[in-house]
Amino acid sequence: MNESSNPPEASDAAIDSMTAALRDAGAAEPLPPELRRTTLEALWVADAARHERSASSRGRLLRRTGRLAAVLTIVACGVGAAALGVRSWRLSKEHRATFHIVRNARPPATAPATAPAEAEDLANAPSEETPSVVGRVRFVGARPVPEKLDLSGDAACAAMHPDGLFDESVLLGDTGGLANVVLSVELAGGVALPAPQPVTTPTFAAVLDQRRCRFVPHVLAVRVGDQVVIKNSDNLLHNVQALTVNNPPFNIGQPGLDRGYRTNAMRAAERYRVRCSVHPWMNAWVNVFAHPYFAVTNPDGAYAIPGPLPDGRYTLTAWHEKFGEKQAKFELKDGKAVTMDLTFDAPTLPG
Amino acid sequence: MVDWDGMIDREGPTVWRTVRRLLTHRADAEECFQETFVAALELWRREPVQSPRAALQRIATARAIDRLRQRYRESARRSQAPGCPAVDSSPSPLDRASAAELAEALRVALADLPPRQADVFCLHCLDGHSYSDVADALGLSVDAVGVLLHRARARLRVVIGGRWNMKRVEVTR
Repeated sequence: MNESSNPPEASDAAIDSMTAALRDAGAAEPLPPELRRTTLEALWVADAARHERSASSRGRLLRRTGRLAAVLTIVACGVGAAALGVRSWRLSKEHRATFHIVRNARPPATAPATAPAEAEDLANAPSEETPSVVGRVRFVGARPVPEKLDLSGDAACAAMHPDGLFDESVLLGDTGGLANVVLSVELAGGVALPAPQPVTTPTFAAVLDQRRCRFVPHVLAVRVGDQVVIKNSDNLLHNVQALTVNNPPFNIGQPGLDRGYRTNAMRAAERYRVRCSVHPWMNAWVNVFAHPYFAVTNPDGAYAIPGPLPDGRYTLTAWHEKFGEKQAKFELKDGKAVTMDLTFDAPTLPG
Repeated sequence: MVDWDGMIDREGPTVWRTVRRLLTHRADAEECFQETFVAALELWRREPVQSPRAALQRIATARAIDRLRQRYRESARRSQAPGCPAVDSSPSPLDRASAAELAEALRVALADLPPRQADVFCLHCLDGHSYSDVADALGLSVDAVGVLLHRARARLRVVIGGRWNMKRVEVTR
């Protein structure tokens, strides 16, 4: 036995060696991607649980306050009824917006004419019935083959698409029409666009849905002052992140079915990308305009920019996420709508 | 609103390294990682956080030490040689032990430290935070950090020395 009488101690050098060894341990191991996803899920579950707890505590408080609770209930009923009214009104607006896109599919056979005097009066009230510019955007050249997306990161999404899900950045109709092109009218030759009505309260909510692990629509166009309603029609976790610069950012986790999260009203003209941080293939584009003279092409490539616009010379800008921007000049005379057909071709593909 | 997605992207690797170096069991480390961010969610709600990285590392270290202590206590109950590290049982273990064994020896010893001392030791010696950063993260004065670190090292010397001596005695017998 060779024990000493004093308690034995390790040297500082030994402690330092151990510390260095422990400091280096695990240094080379990267963060597992799956752990990142499950941690995000845990965060949203914790967040949802907190909301539930606070909701139930509010409920207890209401039950205990007797007469006050009755008054609150009456008030809540009134608010609920009002909310229902507002919601149905918004749904009808939403319906109209969807219909607007469908209507854009078929430009009017005869372009409606509007008297210049009326155009003056209607300058602040663009109408889908009196489009100022109609047309079709087509793709010419060899049809690009859509890329098959890798859904292996989420088995639930993969199960929704047994035949695979394909990249939606280039969607071509049977006759070459190019969908999801954003068209807008800008100034040319010193002609000012009619001043839009000042937007003081949100008047319209555009819906961006997450359906079967993709964003619907893939390209959305809204006006400054509009809100975006983020829906989740999938019963699984999505996390919507908006890569805004000049507009209110949003980064929302939606652990399951969600009828809609309403963002703040858009503040500035900007184009920004929206992505789902849980599913890297999910992308959408939101285009915010300061005026109401814009449109997005439908699956046939057709569009109709609402009018009326006063006579004058304008520039039409078309943007597509893969093919970039194209511009064309046009002139409006006698309040008549013009037809502007545009084409994108393969050589404009970057790279 | 805190961008947790971005937060995990930015600080996740650092937090993962912190928990992984203290916890050899991967499942423990993964649970600890998640618990750290869920605890951070609560912390962020309660108060503004000046240094997210330091706060996350503090939470991660405390949780990992708790888990480490729990695991070694369990193994001590099951084993005849309670909480013994996988240190080489030859008379001069340091000379021949691998880096992994040295690291494991320190893990076991850290589980024996009082929580505050373990936190200070990990944040300063393992994560490389300065005295003032550790003081800010733990709500202590810089002097208190120095004292706690001194006591931690003194206790580690005794704990580690005692373990080696015990092993030497067993080998001699």
